[in-house]
Amino acid sequence: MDNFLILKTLDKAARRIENTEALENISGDILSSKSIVLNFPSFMDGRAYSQARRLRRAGYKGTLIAAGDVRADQARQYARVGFSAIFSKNNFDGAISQNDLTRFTDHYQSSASDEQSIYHKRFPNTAAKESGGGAF
Amino acid sequence: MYQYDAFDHEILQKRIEEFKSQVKRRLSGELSEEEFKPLRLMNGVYLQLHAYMLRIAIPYGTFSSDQMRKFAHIARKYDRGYGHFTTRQNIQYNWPRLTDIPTILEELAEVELHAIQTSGNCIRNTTADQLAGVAKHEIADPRGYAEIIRQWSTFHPEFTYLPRKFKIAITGDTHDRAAIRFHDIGLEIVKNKSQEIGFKVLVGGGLGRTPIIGTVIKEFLPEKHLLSYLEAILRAYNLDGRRDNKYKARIKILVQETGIETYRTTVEQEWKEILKEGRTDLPLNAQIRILEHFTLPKYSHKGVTSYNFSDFYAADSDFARWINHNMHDHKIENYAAVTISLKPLKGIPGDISAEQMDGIASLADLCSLGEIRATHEQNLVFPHVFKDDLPALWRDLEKIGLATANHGLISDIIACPGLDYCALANARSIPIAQEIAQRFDDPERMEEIGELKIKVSGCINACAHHHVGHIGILGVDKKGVEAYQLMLGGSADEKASIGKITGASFDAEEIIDAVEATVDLYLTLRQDNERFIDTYNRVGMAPFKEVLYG
Amino acid sequence: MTIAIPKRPLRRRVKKEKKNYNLALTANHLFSGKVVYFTGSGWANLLHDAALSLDGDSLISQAQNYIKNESFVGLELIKIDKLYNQLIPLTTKEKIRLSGPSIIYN
Ligand code: SF4
Repeated sequence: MDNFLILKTLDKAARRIENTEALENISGDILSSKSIVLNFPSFMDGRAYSQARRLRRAGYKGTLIAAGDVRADQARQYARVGFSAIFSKNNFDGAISQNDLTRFTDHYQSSASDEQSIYHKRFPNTAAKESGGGAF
Repeated sequence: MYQYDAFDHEILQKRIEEFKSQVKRRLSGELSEEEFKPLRLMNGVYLQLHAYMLRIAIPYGTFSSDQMRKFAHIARKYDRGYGHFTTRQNIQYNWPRLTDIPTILEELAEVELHAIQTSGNCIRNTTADQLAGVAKHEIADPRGYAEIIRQWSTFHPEFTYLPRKFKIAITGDTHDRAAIRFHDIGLEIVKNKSQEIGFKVLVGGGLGRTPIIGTVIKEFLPEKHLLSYLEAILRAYNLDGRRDNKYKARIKILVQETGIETYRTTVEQEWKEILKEGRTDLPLNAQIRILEHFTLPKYSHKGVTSYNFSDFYAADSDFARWINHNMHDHKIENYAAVTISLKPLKGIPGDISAEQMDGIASLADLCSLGEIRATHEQNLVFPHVFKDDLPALWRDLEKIGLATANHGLISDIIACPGLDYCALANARSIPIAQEIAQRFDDPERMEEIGELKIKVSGCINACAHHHVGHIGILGVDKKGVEAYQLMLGGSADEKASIGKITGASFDAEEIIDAVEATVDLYLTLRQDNERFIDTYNRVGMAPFKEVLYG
Repeated sequence: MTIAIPKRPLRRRVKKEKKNYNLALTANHLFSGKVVYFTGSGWANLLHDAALSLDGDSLISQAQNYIKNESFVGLELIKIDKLYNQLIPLTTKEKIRLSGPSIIYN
């Protein structure tokens, strides 16, 4: 999570995907985008978390940006489902989000990055792939 | 019982740290109320009618005597000397100060308790059969699976801002004491032909504004795929659930609107993808490690007193009455589970004082292997009582006012906090429950009436499950006056049904008379040993309408 | 100060809505959660000390000066009746909010 970015501007070429898209099928076109912006119209509207999850699962490797009503206290969640950046015009408290990102060392779910879940750590011989929980 | 390992402790500590910092930032003005509110809600802190309310989870309803002592301590030190057990195996305090809450959470963490996800649009405390692990005809103990769900759902990054709250209930018995048909997801442990354990999965049940009985989405889900399948259900709901209207946002509406077939197809498709990744279901050894915590305890009994159960039962009719109503069959010979009713006459359903909590804790140590259960009917259960200990236990319970012999009877009423505490209420629930109990306060009459479940909610949110009461009462606001709708014929168990409204609402006095008229009519109509609900199902609404409205 | 809440029926207390009601502004203290009423120059625990006005908006805007860091939350205007010189909230909800739960834990 070291390279989680807080963006003040958005690349014009970034591809926007509305959060009404369930992304059940993801085209090669989307997968080859350099950066994709997913929207949180309100921070309470959590659809983009699942969208991010699906994009990463489909093999999307580019920058995945959370935009809209994004909040510092939510940074960990963005990162753990596969976002690599936050875009916010507001005064985004980077210190808070940094705390949030690093606060928990262990998780009950494995995540987009290749870290191991608690279940894996409870049994050091388990392969990472089988670590269980599966936030990603 | 489950015992935290270093990882569980660490996570809880970090969470407290985080919440502490959020409270601090709020108090200093760094966070606005608008920003803070969802953060405090994620930790069970509500602002109610009079004050803050803190809701603490009792995962799947199982807790220890030490945890009970902590509840007592918190009631005394940070609250007004009492607590309230809810219908979702939580305990609530009605008067904590926001500034004390981080400290309260630290105290709770010492005994492995928390308030995580006890509110907010996330996966809430998974509830379970209160007789889990000891019920005589149980297929398997559901609590290990509930603990697996607890861990998986704790801070699940993807499912913290769902369209609406999400409640899961699980039972290991065909007789459903956990109301699984009225949860967003209901799980029933079943065995397939080859005697393998799995789950029958129900989805889209619920109460509230639109009461719906859950539908089976999967007849047999192999045990090892529990989490992957839950994840598929949740993901489909997170993406497709309605967010335009709060009252249509629960999964039950999605299932109704898309139809179970379509929804099932979506879920199965997603499930396949999740299985391909193979990263969600627990590795077998991790699963076993959790389930191991729930093996039957060693019942090596040392006898508290020298009573003989059968002799005492024959000799003391009050004790016999308590046994007849409050005792439950146990897996192990000479053992019993027993309900400790939190519905004494003039009491507040689910409320318990700090002194009573301490009393219960000591008694649990003495004769229930230190273990206690909270039920969705707002009572407690001692799950492991040696039968010969029951007389002494009963006497000691009497001393603390908790030996009421009314489990399942008309005075064992579920009531939500209602307008006395709750900011959302239309009308008071507690006084109605108290007056009904008072009206029928005669052990013989109660016994004559037999099993009758009354549930009183103060508003349409249905925290007291009024739709599934044999008799349900719903508080409504009639031009500023408290009024009550009457419902008949609901049932929360495996023969699930939703009560029907009798007709025009009653005022607070009339509703008590209306309940009495209903019960009296039942007594004249009943055949053989029919329970109220059986008679109602046989004769229907018409005769009741007749006697109520003429 | 407590105001006895009639045991029931509550019907007698509720009068037909008049057009103009005296309004008071209530809130909860952020730190303690305690119920408070706006006095015109601060906050008090007693409804008795509340500032009354027919104009709710002006009450709210006056109160802004006394809510540093949003230390009072859940602001709400409530209708007030005057009875024998006592201030009484109109709705059952606010009556209970003022004097505490109508049932006492025993
Ligand atoms: S049913 Fe309504 S009044 Fe009762 S506790 Fe729930 S929200 Fe409050």
